[in-house]
Amino acid sequence: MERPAVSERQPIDRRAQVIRAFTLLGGVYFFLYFILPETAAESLGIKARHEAISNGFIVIGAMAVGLGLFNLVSAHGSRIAFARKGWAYSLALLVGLFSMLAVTAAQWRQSLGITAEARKAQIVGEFAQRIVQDAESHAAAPALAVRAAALRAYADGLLDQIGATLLVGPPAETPLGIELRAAAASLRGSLPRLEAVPGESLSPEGKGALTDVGRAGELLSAALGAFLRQESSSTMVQQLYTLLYEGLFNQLGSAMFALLGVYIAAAAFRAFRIRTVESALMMAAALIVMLGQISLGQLISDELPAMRQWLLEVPNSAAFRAIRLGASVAALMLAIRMWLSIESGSFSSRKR
Amino acid sequence: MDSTTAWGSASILVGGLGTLAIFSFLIRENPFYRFFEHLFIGIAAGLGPMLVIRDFLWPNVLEPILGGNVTAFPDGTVSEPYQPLYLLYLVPMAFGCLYYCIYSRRYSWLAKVVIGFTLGASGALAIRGFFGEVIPQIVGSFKPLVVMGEGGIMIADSINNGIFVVTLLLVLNYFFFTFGREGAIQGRIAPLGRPLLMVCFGAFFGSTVMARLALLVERVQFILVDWAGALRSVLGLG
Repeated sequence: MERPAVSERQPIDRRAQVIRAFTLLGGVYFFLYFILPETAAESLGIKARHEAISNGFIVIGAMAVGLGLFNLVSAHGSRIAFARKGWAYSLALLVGLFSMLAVTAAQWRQSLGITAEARKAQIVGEFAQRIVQDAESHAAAPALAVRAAALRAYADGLLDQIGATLLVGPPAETPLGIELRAAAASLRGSLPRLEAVPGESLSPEGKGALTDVGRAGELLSAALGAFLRQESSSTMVQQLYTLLYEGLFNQLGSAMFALLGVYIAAAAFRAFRIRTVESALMMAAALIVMLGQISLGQLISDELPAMRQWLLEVPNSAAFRAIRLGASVAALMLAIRMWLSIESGSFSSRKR
Repeated sequence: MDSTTAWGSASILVGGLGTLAIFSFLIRENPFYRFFEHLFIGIAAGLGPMLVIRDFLWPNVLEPILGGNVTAFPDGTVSEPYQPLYLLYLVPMAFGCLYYCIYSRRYSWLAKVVIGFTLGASGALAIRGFFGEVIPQIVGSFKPLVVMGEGGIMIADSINNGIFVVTLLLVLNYFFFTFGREGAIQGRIAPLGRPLLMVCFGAFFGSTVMARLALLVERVQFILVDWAGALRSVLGLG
């Protein structure tokens, strides 16, 4: 075949080449991680960092979150701005969108505050454990007595703060308030034992004291978190979140799915006609599955639930697996073509 | 009525109103339905991004970058040193921002770069998924046709396994279009997959309808018990 003259050749689309190169590059890591032997992945240090690298890929996708929001706001915002047909529905959509964004953000902020407060108590436990670990491994750290004194001062300060701000008034008399008081008392009671921690090496008494303080700190952290969560459950933010999430999102979602069930049944009733043996088989299978699940089916025949179970486990499971296997082979081919940019001529070309 | 109870009642009342609005579509499409439909889409669209940020970006990316996972102990030491490697997450973040080039006529091709990268990664993951998940399923599908138990051959299990394998092969064969069906053998075997597929579709249909009807029953119970109870309480009737 004769090669075309230089002037007749198609210009090289550099952008398409860049897009194809990045498409190939995107799959290289996961493909290599799959084909590399585990020992090789370990020796290259990939295995230890696999989660972090996978998160990096997810981050790229997560950055697209704003696209959907931007499109929704621009499409419905323009409908409201120009008072086009159905603008009131767009307003309802945007009110729902921004209410949910604002309330979820506020609820999250509140939850972060609770976690931070509970974390203060958790530090007592972690610090006590760290002192023991450092002493046993002879790691470079301040003197034991200094660290024990710092732990005691920190825990005393925290307990004073909890006593002055949380363990007052009616909330302190609730079951969780009583539990918090008990956990605080347990930590307060274990603190004087820290005096047994000597300045140089860790004695068994000192280790026991630090372990007890650590355990009491963890208990206090759990009690404090539960108490604060109970306290925050009656705040306006939490109530609004419950109203939007449980009152609207969950209820409307369930109603939508239930509505679809009615339509599936109604459509089958209107359109389905038993004209062939195959359609009769389909109807019989559907009837057995439906009747076998309800008590009416058992009234008709005691065997119906067992028949339903057999139908689902044997022929249905086998046919579904065959469909899935066929679809998976097709998906594999599509994945390879997509990765190698064989499928995406129009995607990577300049033409729109 | 204290504030918590009032909010709880409000939540039930609004949820019931929304449920009735959605079910009003059964009569015909109406403004009441469309209002709640749009409200639902808005709430769902608002929840999604917040979940991505709250449950993934913050704990896995932003908090480590900002050093939020490093605890300062009372004696001035820290739980672990700050890991500057977390700053590398800024690279995929910046790369992901190229999605927004789609709004620029001049630079929209850069959005295709990041979309292509994501497609490539998805393709490689799908390849891995095929070999990791589907191959074991293929192996597991070929069950023993003669099942031996303590008392000899287990006839029921053997028959069930036989039906399973035959169904699997016939349905697979039905979707096998590489060769024509004009031949004497293939022409007779291929149609046998159809009735088995119909049984499968029927079972699917039955399961789907029953799952949706269970939701419908739950909705009707909610309206008749919870919502009606809250309404009576608000109106001072009960």
